[in-house]
Amino acid sequence: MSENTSNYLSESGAASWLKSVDSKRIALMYLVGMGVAAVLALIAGIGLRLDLLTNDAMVEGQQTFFQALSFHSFFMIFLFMVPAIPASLGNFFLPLQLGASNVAFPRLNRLSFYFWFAGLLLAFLSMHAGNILRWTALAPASLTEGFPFVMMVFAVITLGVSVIITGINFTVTIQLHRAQGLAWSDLPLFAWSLQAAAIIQIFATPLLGGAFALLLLEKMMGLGLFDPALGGDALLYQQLFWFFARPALFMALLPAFGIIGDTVSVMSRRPVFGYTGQVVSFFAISFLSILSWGGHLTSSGQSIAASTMTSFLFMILVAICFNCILSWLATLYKGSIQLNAALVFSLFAIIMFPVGLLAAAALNIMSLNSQLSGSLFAVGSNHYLLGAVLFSLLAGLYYWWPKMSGKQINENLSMLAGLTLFIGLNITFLPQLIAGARGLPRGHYQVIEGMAASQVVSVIGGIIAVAGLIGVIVLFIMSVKKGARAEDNPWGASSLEWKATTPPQTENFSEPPAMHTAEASS
Amino acid sequence: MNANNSFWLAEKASSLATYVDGTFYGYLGFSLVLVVIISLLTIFFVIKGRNQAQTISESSPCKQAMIQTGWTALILIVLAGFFCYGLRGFIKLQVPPNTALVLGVTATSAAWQFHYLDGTSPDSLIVPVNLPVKLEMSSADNVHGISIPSMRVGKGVVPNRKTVTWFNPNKEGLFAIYNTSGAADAVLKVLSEEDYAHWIKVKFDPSIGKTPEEYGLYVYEKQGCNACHSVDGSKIVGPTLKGFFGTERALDSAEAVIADSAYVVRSLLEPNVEVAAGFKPTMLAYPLKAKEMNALIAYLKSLQ
Amino acid sequence: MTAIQAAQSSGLEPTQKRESAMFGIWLLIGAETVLFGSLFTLYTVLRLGNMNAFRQASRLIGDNGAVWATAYILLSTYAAAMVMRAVKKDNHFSLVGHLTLILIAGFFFLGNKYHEFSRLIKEGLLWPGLFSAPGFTGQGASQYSSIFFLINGLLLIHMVIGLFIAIRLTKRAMLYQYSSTNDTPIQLFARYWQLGVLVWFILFPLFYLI
Repeated sequence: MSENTSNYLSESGAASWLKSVDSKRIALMYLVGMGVAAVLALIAGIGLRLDLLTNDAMVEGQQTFFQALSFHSFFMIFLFMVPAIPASLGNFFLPLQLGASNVAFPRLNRLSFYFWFAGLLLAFLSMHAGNILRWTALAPASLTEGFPFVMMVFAVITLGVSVIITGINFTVTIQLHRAQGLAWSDLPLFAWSLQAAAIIQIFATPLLGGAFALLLLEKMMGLGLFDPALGGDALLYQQLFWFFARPALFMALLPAFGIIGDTVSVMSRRPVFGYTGQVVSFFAISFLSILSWGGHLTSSGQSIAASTMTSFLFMILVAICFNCILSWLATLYKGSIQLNAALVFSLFAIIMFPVGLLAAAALNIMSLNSQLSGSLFAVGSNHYLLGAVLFSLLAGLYYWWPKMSGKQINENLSMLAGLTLFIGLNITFLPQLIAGARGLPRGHYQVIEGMAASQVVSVIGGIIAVAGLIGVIVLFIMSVKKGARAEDNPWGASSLEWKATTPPQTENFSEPPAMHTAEASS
Repeated sequence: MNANNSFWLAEKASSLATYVDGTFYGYLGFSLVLVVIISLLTIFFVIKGRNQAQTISESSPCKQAMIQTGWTALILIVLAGFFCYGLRGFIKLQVPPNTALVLGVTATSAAWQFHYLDGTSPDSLIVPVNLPVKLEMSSADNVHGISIPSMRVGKGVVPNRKTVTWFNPNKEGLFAIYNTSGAADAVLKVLSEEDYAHWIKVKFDPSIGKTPEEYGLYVYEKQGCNACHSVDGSKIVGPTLKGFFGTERALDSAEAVIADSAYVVRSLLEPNVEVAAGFKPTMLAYPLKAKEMNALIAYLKSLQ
Repeated sequence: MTAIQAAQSSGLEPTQKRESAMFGIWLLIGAETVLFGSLFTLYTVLRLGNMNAFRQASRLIGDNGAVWATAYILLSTYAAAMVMRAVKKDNHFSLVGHLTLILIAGFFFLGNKYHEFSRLIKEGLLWPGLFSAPGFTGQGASQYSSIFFLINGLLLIHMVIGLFIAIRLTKRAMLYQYSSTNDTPIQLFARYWQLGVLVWFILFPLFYLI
């Protein structure tokens, strides 16, 4: 652990980053890029809330509102949520956890990042040109849009390809690139969760690209599949779309589950409770999420049988998610707790996940669906889940930060910033659930009597959340600039990434890492 | 808003609320309990175990798996219970009673249109209290959705498809109708039976604001008289009505009759008894209302 | 650092790389299957809604050309299987010969499709936006054309990409660049090609026979 050892950060210069096939560098580029996308989307989100408050019911105002809404939803979902944890922390730590030197296809991995970046640019072009379609681009409304729509289709297809490549890469890495002697049962939950998410990435994403490509063809040539004017069926597009979009949520959730399972175990100095059960749950969640898309269409006129089946599958899915949550609790139970930022951020995620999951389940109780699905309640549910994913991402970042940067971070201030973020997000999202249950429709520009209070509260919460998030970002930057040197394994974790040098060298390990089991027996 | 507002869910103004509200509040209670328990336990475990080295003997993986199966099954059973309740309610929400008042609904991005038997009411849906209302909906452009929170109604409105929903308002008043696609909203007005009858009469009575002659012309065109009887003197299937009223008419039976009000009424009710000379007895009977008869006669008088 | 890299790569790489590539191509084929599968599902949904129109339209579209196309595809799948065998046995002439056979069969297939498409364009049997074939009312027939062109088009894109790869591989094979120890590109290509073949054998009965 001498100071002079070169590490993956040693080389400098923009070209050395852009040309790099090192998954750790690609991970950092993803992290920064997604951070920028998320912050932009956040600004758009708060902007549209402010727009609602200063509503003057003018046509131009309405245009601005829907543009901000499209920007917020598209950037948050396609550029942040969909790649989220796998592309950043996954790229960095999966090979390390497996004792491998890189992902299976390093150059494809770089290509995947380029695709993501191209998607970002295309999405930006689309939004700049005045996209008002939101992320769902529902037919037939989308068919009448011009340039912004075409750019959006290309953005979605490039992002989809990027996700599929990542999924294939991770699957091959996990299946074939484990270090010798690393048993399946030695894999951290995080690696398992990435594998479960990769199944969704590979098998659900093609439909997203397909659905958007069909939309474009429908617009260009008039295929008559979705356009009612040509005898098409507008619901058909929704079926295709939700087949991707429902599992996409769990594609983001699963790695978050993995991170929390691991962090909670390390920080309470106890082995993961019900390891096998959690791993099985990950795969069950992955499969069930692909099968339960129809729950989104209960109130749109699809058959009752289809709605019943898919909605009930979703109920099973939620019960299985709770298995993971309760297992984290059991891991914490009677643990020897190290209270630090990573654990606190995990705790916030543990509190937000049940809210989001139960709200999502409420939408699949069919009599409530007709009441809630068109309302802000559904928005609130998704925001709770994604807020929890954000906390998991940050928890993972705090957990691995000493290894990634080789620096310590101010834990106490981080916990304070985290608390601010937690309070802010709850003040923003809870009114969405309440106003939604009372009937406030989603994506609505018109001012609705008696609902203004919830809008004001949401804006205030949003501002508090942004303050917390800025605090978090500033603390990370300060740590990079003048953080004290971190130890190799500050939390006493046993997984392989902690056996690498700090920060890791480019090829991760200079010799095959010693196995956990070997260490235990010696 | 109204005094009997609850914090959760909109004001209850439909008998359908019984299928929704119970499930909702029950589920809300379950959710709150679960979230609070999880949050408190998490915080409690962390505070209790903070910075102290506890030793705990780990239970066997097999036992852990059994515990996991146990709590997953428990939560699933509760969720499945709510799901079944919800399904029962949902099916009730799908099947309108036969006695329902059937109204058509067309959604566009610009406005809602509600179709009554006699005409269309834009942007406001007006229904009588305590009568089930069935909405047959379709969209003229994009995918829309109708949401009437106080009636516990929510349904997609899709182009090229007819979707159906219904509600049974049990409270008079004004309620919001939202378009869940973000497009224009509308208003639901629930009136007492008398007010509704009066509204229908006034809204769709074509005689309002018309002189008797104008209303007569309306009846003439609406009943399709113009298909056989011209008003410009030309002969189509039947004799022209120009300069008809008050003159003496020769009949098929070689008799003659003065074309007065009584003759017009007789011709409409029993058209093939006194047939004009030179025409075939092919006219159908038109049992018009007295008001329409009078207007028609006024109109015929004006055709001199 | 380079020394470590070299040591590492010499240790694991060749077999692991090969295995990774094989597994990767299977996953890609899986993803593609979902894509084609969704289109075939779409076909089923549309067909169930327009039974008669679909039957009628398939009579009009199907002719002997499709049988010839199937023959070319059969030839190419045989050649692809032989290519895999040849490279395993280091049989240079068989490898180049069968790669060329794939190219010939592939280009005949493209020509066949060109003829079919131009006939359909002439007869106006196109998607609803451009449908002009006489004797059809209702939208079933034109929707049949939509899904027909979608699946065929996607397959053709795959075939064209496949043929480009095949040209590259043939060139390299002629220069003795592949052997039983260095056959990964050939193996990957052969598997990818068989995916296209599989799609044709699902597509053929659905569009031309029933």
